[in-house]
Amino acid sequence: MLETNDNQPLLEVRQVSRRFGALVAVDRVSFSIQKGEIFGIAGPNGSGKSTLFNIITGIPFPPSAGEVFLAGQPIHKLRPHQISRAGVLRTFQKDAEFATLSALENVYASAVYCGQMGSNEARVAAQQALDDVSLAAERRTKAASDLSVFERKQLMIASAIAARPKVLLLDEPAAGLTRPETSDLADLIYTVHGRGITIVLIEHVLPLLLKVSEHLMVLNHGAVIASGKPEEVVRNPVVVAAYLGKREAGL
Amino acid sequence: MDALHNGKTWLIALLVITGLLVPIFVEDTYLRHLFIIAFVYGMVAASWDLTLGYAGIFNFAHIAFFGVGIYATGLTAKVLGVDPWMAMLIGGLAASAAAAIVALPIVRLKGVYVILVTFAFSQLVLQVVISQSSITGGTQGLVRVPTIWLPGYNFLRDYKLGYYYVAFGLLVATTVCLRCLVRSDFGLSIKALRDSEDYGVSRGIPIARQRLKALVASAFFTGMAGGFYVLYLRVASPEIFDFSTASLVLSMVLVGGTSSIYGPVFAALVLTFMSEGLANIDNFAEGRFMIVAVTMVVVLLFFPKGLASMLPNGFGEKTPEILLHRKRRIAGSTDHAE
Amino acid sequence: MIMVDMLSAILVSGIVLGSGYALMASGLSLVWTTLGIFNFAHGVLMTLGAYVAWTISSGGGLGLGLAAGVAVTVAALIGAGILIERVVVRPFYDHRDILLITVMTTLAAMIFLQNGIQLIWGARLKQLAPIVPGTVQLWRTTISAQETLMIVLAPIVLAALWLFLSRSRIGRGIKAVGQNADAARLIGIDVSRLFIITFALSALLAGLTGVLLGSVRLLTPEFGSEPLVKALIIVIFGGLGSLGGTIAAAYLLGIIEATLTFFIGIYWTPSMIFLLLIVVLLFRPQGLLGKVVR
Repeated sequence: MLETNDNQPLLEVRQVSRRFGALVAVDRVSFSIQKGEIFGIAGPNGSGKSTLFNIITGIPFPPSAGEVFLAGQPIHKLRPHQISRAGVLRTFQKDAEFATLSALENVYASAVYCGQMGSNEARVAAQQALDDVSLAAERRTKAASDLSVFERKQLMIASAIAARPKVLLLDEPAAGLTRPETSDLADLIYTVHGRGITIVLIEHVLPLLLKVSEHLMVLNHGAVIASGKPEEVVRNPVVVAAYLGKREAGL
Repeated sequence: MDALHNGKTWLIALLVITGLLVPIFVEDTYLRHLFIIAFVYGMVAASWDLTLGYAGIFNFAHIAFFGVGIYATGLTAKVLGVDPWMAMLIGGLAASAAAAIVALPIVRLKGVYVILVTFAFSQLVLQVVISQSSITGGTQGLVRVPTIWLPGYNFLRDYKLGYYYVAFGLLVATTVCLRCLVRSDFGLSIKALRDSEDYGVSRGIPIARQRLKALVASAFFTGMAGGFYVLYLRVASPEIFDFSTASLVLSMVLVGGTSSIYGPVFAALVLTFMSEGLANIDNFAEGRFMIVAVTMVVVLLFFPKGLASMLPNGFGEKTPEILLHRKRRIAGSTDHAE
Repeated sequence: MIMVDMLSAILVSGIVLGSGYALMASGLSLVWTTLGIFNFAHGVLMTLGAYVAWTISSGGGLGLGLAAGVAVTVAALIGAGILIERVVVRPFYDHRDILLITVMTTLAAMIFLQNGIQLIWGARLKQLAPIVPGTVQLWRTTISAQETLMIVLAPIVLAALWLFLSRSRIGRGIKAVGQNADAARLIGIDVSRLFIITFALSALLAGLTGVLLGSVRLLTPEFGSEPLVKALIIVIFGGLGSLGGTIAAAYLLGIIEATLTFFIGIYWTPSMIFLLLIVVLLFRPQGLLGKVVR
């Protein structure tokens, strides 16, 4: 086994930018994440959080400039599906699951194509992943479009972990959830984390982020304005101003 | 669930046996001819649904692929003297090759461009066929194409009995292959991409490759069908590229239900007999296409899942159908079936 | 000298082609930008316009002359445009796959009308009398006066269309609906009325193209198919969603086609154009003149 040295970050993003014509959605953002971390990214709406996920995963577009490394290997030049197969998986803010396929098929497809497993192995992995997110057995044969909002969040996470990713990027997973559901989601994130998966979490509401993150980075206008321990970052006047300037913060 | 599945298996077996027995009771050459044409359309319609329904690729070049199969088979058999059976296979391969060329620009494009490019491609093939008249016969059509043969058997005498069984055999083989494809992991992946492109890619599905495969596979079956069609009729005419042919087959897919293999096959049978019946009414050749057009709109309006979905045992897919998904887009409906 | 003759021939015939394409494609593009659908019956509307004009004005028909022909054609096309919108487009506005479904329904409308035309007028070839007879020497190339009329009329009509869209209340409404139908509805714009007006306007443009081309080419029920396909290629080249891009692409395609026809002949030109289309799409999926949209 080739062990990567402990100081090498698992995911390293160097100076990535994304432009749309004159608009700079993400502006020279750099950060690195250690293996096993839960890394939170906050920022007001339109601050470039989701775009950052888009360019890291190449879905639907790569960065205009900059580099991304996974365990020291460059991944920003790979095709989007290859980035997923390399171990960087994401969820989507909007409903995106395979609506006409059953929950089980959703997860199985990921195990086969992303995890590159054989049929039998994928079937086992799919059930295991659904067990991990505790989606009720009788719901697994239902079409994904028939599932509830929370069940679909469970499904999206299950389909990611079935492929045994190295890093899981969660894009505003709490959107549309009730308060008790958000707390269940936090437990779910801990469960996934407990499986040895490094987590990057985007939220614009702070409670969940503050609860689970070990490190917090804040974006505004596409650039990093603060990064560090969550409790210190939220007291940073620049961060407070960015949030209050935009909207009443969920602090 | 199992009982239902078994019931379905029995029904399919019964239908296959019926299909085998038909020529014993139907001795009329014209009726047998209609069956043969219906079988060909069944192959074209069912294979179209692989791209249009299952993969959700807005592919409107399918009839052009059928035409490529027709001309590739007809020309290799007639001009190059290739064995007709071999030529039929060449027809399938040529259609696949054409599909691969079309796939090159469209696999990464969004819906509307796919529609435009595939339509444009269909016209291109038509233009090539018409302009290269010294080889293809141009608007006059390709004539005197050799036909299929078996040792000691003459397909031209026997009141189309031989053709009937070859067509039926091809239809059954095509249906079985298509069913296997859509139920395989590959089938799962193209349905997944249809439901959600970005999510599919994020789960490691190579979008360009899967769509290319779907187009190439679906074109192969329609190309083979085209190959048989020209060897059976022994003539080929550029009229096959008409929008009318496309809409006739499209109506079969719609009536049979998108995302179904059996549906379009049965719809092809019914619609071929209906449309030929109408064509026999004097001075009503145009009327039959007008009725086909009306049928398409009516089905889309009132039976978006296809008429076949109303059959017992649900011959269509049990999962919700893409065409049924409504969302508030412009008119602000109250439907929440997303 | 020969070089100049050649250049003149290519340019003049390219502009003639481009004028027809621009009129045709602008109607298609108008419906696309406003409603987000492709009207495959656009070509047959052009055919319908030419046939109606022929019936009213030509000696072979009622022989009522040009003015009556134009008046009835305008009325018929506005009617046909509205009918298509109501019957095969409107019922599907709230559909997720409105694009795919309306391709099929407008295709059905096209099949219906094309066969209807054949049923009414028969398959025999017809030709409209030119609105202006005679020939005109343009630079070093002689073309018919009718073709010259097209060259002159197309920019005028397109400029009028542009003025209408940017200056009139209805036109600005149409533009607003094209950008965001929901928002337009919120500020009190009668969206469904504008959809109908858009369709009628687009049908009118198709009909005008039909009347102009109907004396240059022969009328058959399939008269509109080829221009429809060209219009499709143009909107791909031009990039979807901009009328200006569509018009520029129409003239560009006219000149490309004339050039190719001159050098490699009419047989291979369509294939070359398609090849060009593929290359353009491979490198600029948003079209030659289109912009990247987020």
